[in-house]
Amino acid sequence: MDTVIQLEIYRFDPEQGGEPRMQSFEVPVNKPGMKLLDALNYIKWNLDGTLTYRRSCGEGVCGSDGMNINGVNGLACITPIAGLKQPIKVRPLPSMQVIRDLVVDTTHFFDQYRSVKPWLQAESPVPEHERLQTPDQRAELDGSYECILCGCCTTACPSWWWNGDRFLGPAALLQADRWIKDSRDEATGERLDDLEDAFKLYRCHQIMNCMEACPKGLNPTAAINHLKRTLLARKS
Amino acid sequence: MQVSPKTVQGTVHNTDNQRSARPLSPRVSVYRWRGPMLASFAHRISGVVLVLFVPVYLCLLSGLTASAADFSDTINWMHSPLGRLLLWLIGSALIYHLVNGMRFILLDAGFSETREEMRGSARFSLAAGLAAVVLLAVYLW
Repeated sequence: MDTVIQLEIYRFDPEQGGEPRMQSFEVPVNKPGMKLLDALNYIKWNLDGTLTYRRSCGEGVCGSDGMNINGVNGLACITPIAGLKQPIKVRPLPSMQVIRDLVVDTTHFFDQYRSVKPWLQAESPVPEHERLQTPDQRAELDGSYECILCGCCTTACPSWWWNGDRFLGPAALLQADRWIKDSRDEATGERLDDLEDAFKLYRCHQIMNCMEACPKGLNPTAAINHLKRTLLARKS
Repeated sequence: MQVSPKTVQGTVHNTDNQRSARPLSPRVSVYRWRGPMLASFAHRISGVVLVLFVPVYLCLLSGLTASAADFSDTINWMHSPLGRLLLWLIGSALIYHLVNGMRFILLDAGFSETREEMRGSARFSLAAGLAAVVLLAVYLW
């Protein structure tokens, strides 16, 4: 592996205004298994303190550092430098309003998440200890509860790029499916009613960028297809 | 304590002016094309091609069924370079749309839903489309 890596990073400074630009940096490889976030940290701490990006846990759990890396969305903290084509092109998550450099406005993304009411809705009396599930019922949630809401899938979706005002996008729909599959939830009917809409759900055209982008290895396309089948089964 | 009008529960709300000055991050111009994305876009394009050529099918149908002279004129047109080109385009679009359409129906029905199967089936559709393009070209010329 090279001892120095080349990066090109999207820069936008709202105070100076003007058009966004790509800025080149050279970063030494200072440890084995170096991740892209390590390179961004090196730039911020040693080369240019104004470089702005979100990061927190640094191990793919908080979902803060989702960004577009060489054209595909992913988390900088778990993306190894090795194997990335150089210069590594780092841009903010696509189709989002850029606040500064790699930091985007996620308000609309989280509004869409809230719109699917991502919490347990149950009217039956709360049992003495907890609402129980069988191991099989719990296993139904595998593949959806692991979502960390990094936004990599939704901002990778062309349907969401062009119809994001009305199409909920893969992340919110994965969560909708997660609560519809939950055996303890008692609002399945209302949840399905809310989704039965030409735009909210049915703008998915199986482009599958969400599945390709998900850093947790989840499959939002399959969750969306499951929602469509659940709606169909309810009608027939 | 006096709360700044821009600050509600610790969240800084930006003014409309700040929001409108924000650029939209690049999307289709930078996103890397992968098999499933290519397969989906090719499906839309081939579908549009098939619809746009409906007048051609109707012309061919009426030409082939009108009279003996019209029949032979239509056959001659179909053997002309333009006729062959259109048949090549329509045939390629039809075969790709058929194969990938069956893939989408199977996915809708819940088959081959793992990540690897989705990637593999996209590659299969694209390979079938490419094979149709090449084989039809060989057959028509």
